[in-house]
Amino acid sequence: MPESKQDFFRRYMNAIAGKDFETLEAMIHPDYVGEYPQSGELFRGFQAFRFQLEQYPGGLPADRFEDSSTKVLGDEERWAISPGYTVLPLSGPERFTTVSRAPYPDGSRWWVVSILTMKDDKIWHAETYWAPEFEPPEWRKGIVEIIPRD
Amino acid sequence: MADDPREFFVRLIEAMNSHDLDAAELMIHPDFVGDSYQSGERSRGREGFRAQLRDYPGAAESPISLDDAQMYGDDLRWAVTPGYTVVPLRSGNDYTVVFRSRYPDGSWWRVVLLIELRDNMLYRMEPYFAPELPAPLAESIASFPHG
Repeated sequence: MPESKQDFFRRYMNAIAGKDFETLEAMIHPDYVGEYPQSGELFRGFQAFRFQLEQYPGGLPADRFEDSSTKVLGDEERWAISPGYTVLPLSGPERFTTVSRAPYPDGSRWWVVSILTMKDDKIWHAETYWAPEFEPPEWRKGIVEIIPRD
Repeated sequence: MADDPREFFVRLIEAMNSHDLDAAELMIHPDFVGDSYQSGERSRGREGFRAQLRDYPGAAESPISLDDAQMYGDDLRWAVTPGYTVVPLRSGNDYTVVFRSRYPDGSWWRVVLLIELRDNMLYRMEPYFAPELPAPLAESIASFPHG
C-alpha cells in the first residue's frame, strides 16, 4: 500500500519540526527546486533547502505548525478506475496542494500554501506562499459570516 | 460537455475585471460557499459573491492579471494502463489557481485559490492572499506590519 500524500506530508512536516535532515534528504529529490514567488527567490538542491531551515530567523515556524489546520488537496487523484474497473496508478509527476497554519514568534499567524510536485516519490518542486491573517474589513461586515477560530 | 476549467476561469476573471456582475453571478453555483481563513470570513450563495464584487473598494483600479496565471489539477485526469493505453479519468473538479493581483494602493499580491467546480459553476472557493515582499522572504515576513 503506497503512502498517502497526507501521511507523506505529515512525515515531512514532522521531519522539518524535528530538524531530522536525514529523513528530509530522503524525501527531497536531487533536482529539487523551491520557489517563493512572493519574493522571487529560488532554491536548488537539498543543501539550499537545509540551509533555509537552519538559518530561519527567529526559529522555524514549522516547529509550531498546527496539525488540525493542515490539509492536503489532490491526494485522491493518485489512483484511477479505468472503464474496465481496474485500479490504475497515474503516470507522470504528481502534484498536490497543501495548506497549513503557522504561528510566528511575534504572535502573528500565517497560512502557508504549497504546491508540491513529486518525482520518484520525492519532492521535486515546491512553490510556497505565505498569507498573513488579518481582521475582516469593515466594508464586508453584513455580507459575510464569521468562521470561529483561535 | 463540461466547460474547459481554464476557459471557465478566464471567463470568470474577465467578468470580474470588467465588473460585469450579472455575467459573474451566472458562473456561481447557487450553493456556493467561499471560506477566507485569513480573515475568518464565509460567503454564501450567488448574492454573497455578488455583494463582495459590488462593494469591493477600488475594484476598477485593481484588475486581476492573467499573464502569469496558473491552474493546477486538470492535468492529472489521464492515466496510462499497463498496456500503454491512455485512459480518461473521471473528471476532476478541484483546482488550484495562482495569479497576481494589484491592490488599489498599488501593492502586488499573489492570490492562490483552491476551487471546486460543480455543474460548470464555481461551487467552493478558498482564497489565500500573499503579499509580494522583498527577499529574503523570511525576514520580510518577520517584519510584516499587521493591522
